[in-house]
Amino acid sequence: MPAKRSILFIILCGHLYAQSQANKTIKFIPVFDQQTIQEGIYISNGNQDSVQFNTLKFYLSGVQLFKKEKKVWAEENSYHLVNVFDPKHYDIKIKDVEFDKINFSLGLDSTINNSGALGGDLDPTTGMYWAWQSGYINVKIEGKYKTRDNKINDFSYHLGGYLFPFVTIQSLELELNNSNTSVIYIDLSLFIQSIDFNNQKDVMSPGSGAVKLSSILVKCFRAKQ
Amino acid sequence: MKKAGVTILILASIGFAFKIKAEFGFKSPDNWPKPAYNFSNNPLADEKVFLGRVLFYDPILSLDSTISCSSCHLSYVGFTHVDHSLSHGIFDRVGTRNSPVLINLAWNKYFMWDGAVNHLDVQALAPISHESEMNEKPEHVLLKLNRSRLYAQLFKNAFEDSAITGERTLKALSQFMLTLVSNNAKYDSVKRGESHFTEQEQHGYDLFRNDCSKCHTEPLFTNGEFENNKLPVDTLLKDEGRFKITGYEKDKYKFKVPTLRNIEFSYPYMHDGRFKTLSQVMEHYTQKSGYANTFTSIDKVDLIAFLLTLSDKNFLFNPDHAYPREILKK
Repeated sequence: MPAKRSILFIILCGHLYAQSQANKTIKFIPVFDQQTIQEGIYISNGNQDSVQFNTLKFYLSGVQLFKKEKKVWAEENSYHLVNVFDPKHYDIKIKDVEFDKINFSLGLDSTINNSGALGGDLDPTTGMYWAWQSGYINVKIEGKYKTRDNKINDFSYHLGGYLFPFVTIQSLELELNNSNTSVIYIDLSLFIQSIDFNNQKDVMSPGSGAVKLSSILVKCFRAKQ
Repeated sequence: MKKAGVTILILASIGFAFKIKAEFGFKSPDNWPKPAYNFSNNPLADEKVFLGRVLFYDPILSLDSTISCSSCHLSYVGFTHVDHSLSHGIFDRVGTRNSPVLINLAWNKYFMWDGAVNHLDVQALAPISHESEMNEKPEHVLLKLNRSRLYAQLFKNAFEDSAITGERTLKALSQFMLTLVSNNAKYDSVKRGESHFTEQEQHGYDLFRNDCSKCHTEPLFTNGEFENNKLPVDTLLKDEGRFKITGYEKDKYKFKVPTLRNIEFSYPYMHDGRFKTLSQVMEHYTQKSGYANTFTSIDKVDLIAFLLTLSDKNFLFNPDHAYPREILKK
């Protein structure tokens, strides 16, 4: 009998825990104009050139939800590493509340960048940390650009930097439909079309190039396809 | 009753004072500045320090398991690479800077000669990843550690479960390096009133306080800042120092001011190891750079006599800092 009671107690606790943890999901989908981007598959750039993406990872921090301009939820310790090509990491969980707008930052702030070794998504051995000069890589975009005459350029954009004047963290605010799974699209056509591949096929350190591309990338996030 | 109250108050004060001195497991020497390291995020514990020590001496951190931290940071010379102007690492590749000493790191705000690393916890990532040092990916180090029975046990001892993560590995390395405190040189015993300088050492100390202590500030013998000490630029290395990190013109050719503790053993000197002897260093500061060009030859000898009082044999030959033979011999 005591064993039965214990089992019932555990089931009840589990149920209550599940209720308290009930949440919604924000899913990130990469697109190129109207086409969904798939890892390693070429997509037309609309000018007879084409582009493929092999890596698209980014840090997202400071998630807040609003309803009619009133803050209804702010996530504590809000740091996420999103990998849009990995189904285990292409979404984030948010609290189950009514909302019509979301705020977050693309990247990590100076405090986190100065905090030494952290855990979870912020573990500096996830491949999103510069070893030779302290600081997180806020965004990693890697792929290939194929010109109409079949010349292929590999490109790597590792965008980060937290020291003035090369601060790369970007704030973002989106009006978002309230549902169990809300989608944020990342339209990389704007990003790719802003790049001169003859002169800037790689940016892999903090500096003016990383700041410029970060400010363009943040405009690629949108609520509607 | 009143007497008992006073006794309790005195005992409480002693307890409080002890707590301040040994906060989060770290004992700061009396009258030293507050450490820069935030121990509340990584309180020292014997098992974690020991894990860090084993990791420090284990070449598993390098690509081909030939190079450990201690390859370039030998305990008995102040944790630097004695006799090598530029340290060599994996495949006999040679780097571009002199290996710095690892002494009193708890008080350091920046690491590396140009301050590229902003926290002790993430410092080890630089040599692990550098192609001329260990040439290894940190994530691959974790894979190797996770395959090791030895480390499963050591991590379990340190963290109560055997999960091996980047955070735990780096913090354990920090724990060991934070214990590398040198405060038992003759200089320290004089400051504690337990010993006296000779006349020559005292003269050297007076000169030091007048002409050197602005940058090599007591008791750490560094101000922790970046300075341009007017060394001619090496035309091969073309090292611009702090400028590479900040991009500010004013930081060109500035390098981190090193501690002078145990300088007797930590030769060669300067960021590129260009000077093999203290006499050459003295020559630079008194003749070529113009910092102390009124020094006589006796002044120079006396200043060196003072610098030798910064040697701390208790630190250099501390068995708690040495290769953990009982573990790594297997």
